[in-house]
Amino acid sequence: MGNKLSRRRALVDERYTRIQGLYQHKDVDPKKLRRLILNGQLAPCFPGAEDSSLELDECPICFLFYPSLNRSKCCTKGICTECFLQIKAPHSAKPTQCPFCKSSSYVVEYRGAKTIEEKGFEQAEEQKVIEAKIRMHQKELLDEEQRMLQREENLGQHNVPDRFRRNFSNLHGFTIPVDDLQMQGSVSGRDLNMRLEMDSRLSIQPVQNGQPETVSNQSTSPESLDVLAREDAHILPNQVCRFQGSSFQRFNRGDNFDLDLEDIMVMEAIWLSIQEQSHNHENSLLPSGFHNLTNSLNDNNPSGSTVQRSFQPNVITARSSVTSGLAGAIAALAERQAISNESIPGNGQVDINEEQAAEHEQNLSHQDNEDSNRQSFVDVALSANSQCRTDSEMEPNQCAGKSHEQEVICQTENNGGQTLSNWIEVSAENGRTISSLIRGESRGSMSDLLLDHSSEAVEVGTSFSSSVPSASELPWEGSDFLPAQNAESVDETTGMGQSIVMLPDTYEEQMMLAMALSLAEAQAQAR
Amino acid sequence: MSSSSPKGLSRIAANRLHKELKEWQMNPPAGFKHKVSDNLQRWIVEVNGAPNTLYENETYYLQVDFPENYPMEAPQVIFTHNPPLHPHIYSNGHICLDILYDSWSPAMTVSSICISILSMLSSSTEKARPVDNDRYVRNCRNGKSPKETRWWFHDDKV
Repeated sequence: MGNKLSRRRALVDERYTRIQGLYQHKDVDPKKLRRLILNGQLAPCFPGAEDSSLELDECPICFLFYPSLNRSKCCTKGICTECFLQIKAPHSAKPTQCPFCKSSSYVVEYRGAKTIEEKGFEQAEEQKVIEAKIRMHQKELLDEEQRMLQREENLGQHNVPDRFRRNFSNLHGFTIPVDDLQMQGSVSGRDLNMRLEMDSRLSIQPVQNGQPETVSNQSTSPESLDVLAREDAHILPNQVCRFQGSSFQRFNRGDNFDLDLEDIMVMEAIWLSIQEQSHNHENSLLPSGFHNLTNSLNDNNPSGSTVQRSFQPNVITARSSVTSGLAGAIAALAERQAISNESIPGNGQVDINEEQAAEHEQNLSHQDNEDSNRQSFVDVALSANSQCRTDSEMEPNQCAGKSHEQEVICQTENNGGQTLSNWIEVSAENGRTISSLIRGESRGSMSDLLLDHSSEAVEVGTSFSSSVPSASELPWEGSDFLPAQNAESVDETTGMGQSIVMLPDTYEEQMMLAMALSLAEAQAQAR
Repeated sequence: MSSSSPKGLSRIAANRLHKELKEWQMNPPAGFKHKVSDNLQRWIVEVNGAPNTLYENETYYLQVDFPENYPMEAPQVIFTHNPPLHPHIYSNGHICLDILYDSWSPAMTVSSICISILSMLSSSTEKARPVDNDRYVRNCRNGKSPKETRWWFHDDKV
């Protein structure tokens, strides 16, 4: 024992056996303190560091960083010696409560600095907490949607034009004709095929909208969300919008944004590393028919005239992470816009996403439509933000082509598509933009509904994440795609011929969107 | 971080509040906004009633004043302007919540206080003042701090 003591004595610098003056301590016996520290019963009084570093632990009371902390016996929470002396009044009659767990007799012990194992364990715990948080949020999200759907039903659907109702009731989106799915499956491989087929049982609705779909028909299964949240869900852009508007609602910049940035960043980092390890090769898996297909699209649809195409197989990029690329793209765009708000040439956007370089080479030849490129990009990306503004207007056919998912290149025949006006309307579901969106009667009625919904409605249209990059990555002439997606909304578009483009005002908003996208992806992955 | 402590805060208090504020800005508690000001010692926090509660879509303001020896001593937290109607919130804005007084722990933060207050609001089943509101408010007329009150925490439901 004597040996041990003397060895310990040698370890503690004499300077650190005295209080450093963090507090005005009363009643602290310096000799006793020195003895406790030298005996290794209390942590040395290191001067606390302002900033964190790997080796240092933060005292949860003074928020300073120390090489080592005392640990409470009850709950093993750390505390620096000076804070402990403050809390544990030496001559107090009643036993001191643990400031962390409130257990009645607060006693600390000192075990030296945390070992690597302990730190690793803590990190694992934190990781679990993050994951649990994400699961919890997902559950909340589902509940919320269910509530909303319920409410919508209660509101009496006869007041609402079918088109609008569909967008609401279709929160879980994923409205894909079955043939479409099968086709996609054959293109994208067995795995995806299986997943989609699983999902199709749950949530596929024919795109034809002759009948209003009732709420109860809609799948609210987590599986469908899961699939949709993945980039390889093949959905029409408007459906993407709808879906994501609902599923990523919590990543709003509004009140629901309660996952902290740190978590987001951690998740993003984790996600990226996973991705790097396992999916590096996948970028090269772009189906070889892709370019041909896109070519044929361009060739076959030189103008906005109606082209009856019996069926176009969907082309899928096998890349497993779209949105991280997206996030990058958006972030880059945000930076760009921060520099010059005036205009962003399509070229610039094309450059943003390196991973799509292959497509870009091809697409660069279509840069003449720069303006609409930019607008559609912005359009999709930014209605996700809370403070969107009406930036500009454009013709639907300009946007149609740009709004496509990169994965969803082709369109169904006449049955499915909805034109720009329809998916712009999705952005109208973003409750925060309602006021700017009220145009014409058809919109008015929806706005009324939306106002009723306000809290939930806000969440409907919030994030269009994965449709974002596509806009930048597929800078075709807009008219190419117009005919393919037509049927349902054209007749209703009085007053909607002009579409509305949202653009987040600020750099911060755009960055937030980028964040939201990557977290959403991590979330999808985590499930 | 500025090295000069605002007047009235100890060095440790100022340091901690700086860090709390930074953390808040990175990760604000859901439903709260800190109103930006130069005054580290007094925070004004906007509270938004949680969805699906009695206080949904309502906005209130908390005023948080920090004592010199924060966090060893609890901050004083009151509602300003129009305090929410709640069985534990007096019309002068004082809040009957144990963690603000006897049960304060230096391990708590402004953020955790806010969450407790929102939770208190959210679990309320009726919008009403405390039964002894008038008497209490009369007693506090000369600007007494709620921290001087001897609170009796009797209701652990809300």
